[in-house]
Amino acid sequence: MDIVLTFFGRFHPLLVHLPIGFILMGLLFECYKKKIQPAATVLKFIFFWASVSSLLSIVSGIFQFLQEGYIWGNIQGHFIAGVATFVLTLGFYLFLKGNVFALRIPRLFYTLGLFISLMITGHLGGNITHGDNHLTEPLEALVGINNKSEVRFLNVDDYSRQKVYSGLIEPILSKKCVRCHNPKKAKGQLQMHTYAALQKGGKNGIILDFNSPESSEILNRIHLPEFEKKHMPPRAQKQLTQAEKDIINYWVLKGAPEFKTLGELGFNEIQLNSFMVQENEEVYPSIELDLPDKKTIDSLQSMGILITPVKQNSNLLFLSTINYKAFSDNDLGLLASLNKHIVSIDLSDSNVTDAVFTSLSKFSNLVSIKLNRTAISGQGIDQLSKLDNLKKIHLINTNLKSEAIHIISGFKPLIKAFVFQFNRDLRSEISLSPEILVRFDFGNYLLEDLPSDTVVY
Amino acid sequence: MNDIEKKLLNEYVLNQASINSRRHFLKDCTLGLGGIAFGSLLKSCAPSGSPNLFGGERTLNPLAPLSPPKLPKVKNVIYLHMVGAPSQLEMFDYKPELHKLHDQLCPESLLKGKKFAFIQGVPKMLGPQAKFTQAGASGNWISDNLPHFKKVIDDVAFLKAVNTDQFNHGPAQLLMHTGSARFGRPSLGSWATYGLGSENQNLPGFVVLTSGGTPDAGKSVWGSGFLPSVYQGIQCRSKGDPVLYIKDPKGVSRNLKRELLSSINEINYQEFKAQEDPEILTRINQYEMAYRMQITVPEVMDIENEPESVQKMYGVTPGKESFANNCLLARKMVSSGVRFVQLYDWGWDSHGDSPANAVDLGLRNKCKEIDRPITALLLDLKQRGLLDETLVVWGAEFGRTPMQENREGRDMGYKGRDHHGDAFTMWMAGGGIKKGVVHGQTDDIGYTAVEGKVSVHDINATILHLLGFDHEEFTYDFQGRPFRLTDVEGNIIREILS
Ligand code: HEC
Repeated sequence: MDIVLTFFGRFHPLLVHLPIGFILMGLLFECYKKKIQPAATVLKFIFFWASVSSLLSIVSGIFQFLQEGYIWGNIQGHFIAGVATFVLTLGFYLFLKGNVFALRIPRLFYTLGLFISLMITGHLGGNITHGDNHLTEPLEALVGINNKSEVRFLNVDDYSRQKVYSGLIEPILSKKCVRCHNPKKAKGQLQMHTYAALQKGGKNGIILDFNSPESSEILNRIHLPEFEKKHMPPRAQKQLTQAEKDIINYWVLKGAPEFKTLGELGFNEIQLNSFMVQENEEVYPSIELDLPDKKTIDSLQSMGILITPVKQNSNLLFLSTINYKAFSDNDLGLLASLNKHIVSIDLSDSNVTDAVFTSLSKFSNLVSIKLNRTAISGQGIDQLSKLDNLKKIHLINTNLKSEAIHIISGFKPLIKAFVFQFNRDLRSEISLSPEILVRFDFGNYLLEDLPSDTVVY
Repeated sequence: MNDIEKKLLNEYVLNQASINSRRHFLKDCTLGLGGIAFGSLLKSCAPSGSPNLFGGERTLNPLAPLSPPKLPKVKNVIYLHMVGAPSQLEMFDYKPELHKLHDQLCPESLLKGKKFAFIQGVPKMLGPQAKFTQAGASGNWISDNLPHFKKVIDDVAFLKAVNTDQFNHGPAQLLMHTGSARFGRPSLGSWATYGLGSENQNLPGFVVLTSGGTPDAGKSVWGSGFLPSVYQGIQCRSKGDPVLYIKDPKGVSRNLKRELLSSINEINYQEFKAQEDPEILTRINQYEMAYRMQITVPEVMDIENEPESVQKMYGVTPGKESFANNCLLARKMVSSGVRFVQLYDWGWDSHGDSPANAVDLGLRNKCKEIDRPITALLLDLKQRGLLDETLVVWGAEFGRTPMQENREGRDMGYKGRDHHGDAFTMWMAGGGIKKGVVHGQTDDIGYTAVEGKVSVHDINATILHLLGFDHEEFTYDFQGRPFRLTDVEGNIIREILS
């Protein structure tokens, strides 16, 4: 019997479209009744079948509710509005037939009421199947609500003290499972929003098996191949990543404790890497900046200057003159409004001269400077000592004087400098302590000939 | 209307009809929904997340540079692929135990359930045909076949237990470079250019250089698969014209060429406005790029204007096709802003069927051909401050067996080894890579992985990671589902990341 009910219940999503179509059609005729003048029999015919299909929808809906683990609180509104629609449809049908009781109520009450109740029923029904924000979701993007949950939530320093469940498992589940397994919508009668709910399990019993963890239903479900019907999350939904699967697996096999910490369960950094807050931002200063000025960027780009964020959605910029070699000292003025944003600049092969150093010293967040194959000699390079974030400077094949090397070696914090010169050996012109010397790459590497070079086998 | 006009009109109508395929019809019929579909089409040209502030012009220039989603460790990749699969047992994977088993019959247990390309019956074991020493501060093992490489051994991270499930060259090469052993997927370099574009607007973002021959899998290993074709690798030759047909035909001046191109592009652009097919933009851009490349490519491809000392360091022979030339070219490309340089060197298939294919003869000569250039490449990148922002990958489609090949059950004329994908060696060096580490270990005879086994997908996931991509999020919608380079696999090899 259960099977028959479930089967019939599954027709609910199909059946509901019939009364919607019939009723709307009837109402349209109603609106145009002066122009089209449909025979009274046609209207009666339409609303008769509208009543029948509404009734069938309600019945199938009730079956679905009983069989599929919906929660009364969630479908209450939809149900009441549905019944109201049915009552109004039937009433209007009787009205058309000339029933005396039905005639006591004005025609407009029926039609308007029908329209409103139909909309409400439909909307609430849609929310049940597609989620509360189904309609409004596309709009949220418009007005800038972005609730895409942040994936990374662990810190390298203190991750081992985090609780496994609250710090790691819960965020994963709430991102990938709770949408369908919550008190409002408990697919398979399973809720996953709390630890207690997980313990309770679903329609087919527990999903965490504390006695033999490896046969826990939750693991079976996530490890099934994606095309299997029972695979979770269902196909076409946002899937668990491999790392997430591994983590859930590890946790369940360790007995799925609620309060143990990551350290206690022996999680290591590598396992958790994709959950760690990325640290490589450290290369660049972590500062809050306004959006860079659009006009400046447009005009730079139209000159052929390459300017891009260091990564997506970052306000820190990389600038390069690779496609505009005519760039000269004066052009640096164009960048003035971006003097906080530019963290990496490559003016190699351009026409800049020693005047560039004064201008560059105003770009307070610069981390890397490239001036390869330019005419600079290093006059005024001391200005760059103001740049607290500077980590790297490239001065390959320039007119660099050896004094400049000494000045750079005094920069704090120490920076790495690439000062390879093709035609001369700068290194022989200076004397610096070994610990400072390693900060400079003088290049001129050679590969000596080896006797074996000429042997042929 | 005269005859010619009629004919033209006729042709136009026919043309329109042929373009108006069923798909276009469906789109046009959906009451302006076509417009929305177009929007998503264009989006497919630009990976999501590119802020309008910078990357808006992707529609006109599919190679416009984009920022990766995560902070990248490297900007460029130089991928050195030894076509034919060199023997790890004569280069990097030191197996003294294998010596002791030399010439003994292979134990049955090793052969059970295994498939080989050529080995039949019970082969003999073949001891390492090279002397090994420890080198560098790391003390990592390396064979005497690579004497120069010892100088840079502390800069590289070895993967000693790479695994592939393919044992024939073609499919294995495809798997390595496209993430699938069958045709049709975009190559790693195409993914990278698709995601990042090209910084130098006068050079392609993805260049391929070959020496000795084309890989068995053909040009598909640098193909763009289902990505727009503008992202495929451009093969440059170090002999003759760098790019085929790059010179203007006799009698056509550069100005005339410019005018011709402008007119063609104008027509194409109108066609694009009518058909909204992004491949048309690709075509426009390729014409423009080819025009600009006519000047810049010969410049970059000219190795003779490099200083003597540099030429000598690499051991180049200008005017000839060689791996050494290609290494120097790779460095030149990368310093000119080319994103992805793919080198293929042919001739590593040491089956033992000829002296050239013997692990104690031809293989040594091959090692010599790459030893100096690769070492020079790493040193040159370093002295130019490029090694920090470039990833150098060395590898092949698979490795070779510790058994001696016995084709058709008979002893071979020379010492050779069969294809073997269970465990072989690759290495990476450059930005984001830990220096001097070894990850992965094979058993005493170098037959299977006992620790730190990594897959082809793991390697590609790691490369994408270094370029600033999450390999699980970096997708392209095709035939109704998102595709990834790493399919549904791949774990970043954190052990070799700094
Ligand atoms: C798109 C909605 C959806 C998402 C997302 C989803 N599920 Fe489900 N889940 C279902 C449906 C529908 C069922 C009932 C049908 C079935 O048993 O396959 C179910 C059933 C289950 C069951 C079986 C309950 C029982 O006792 O029968 C488990 C376990 C489960 N899901 C786990 C998960 C996990 C773990 C995730 C997240 C990784 C997840 N689900 C995400 C829709 C979803």
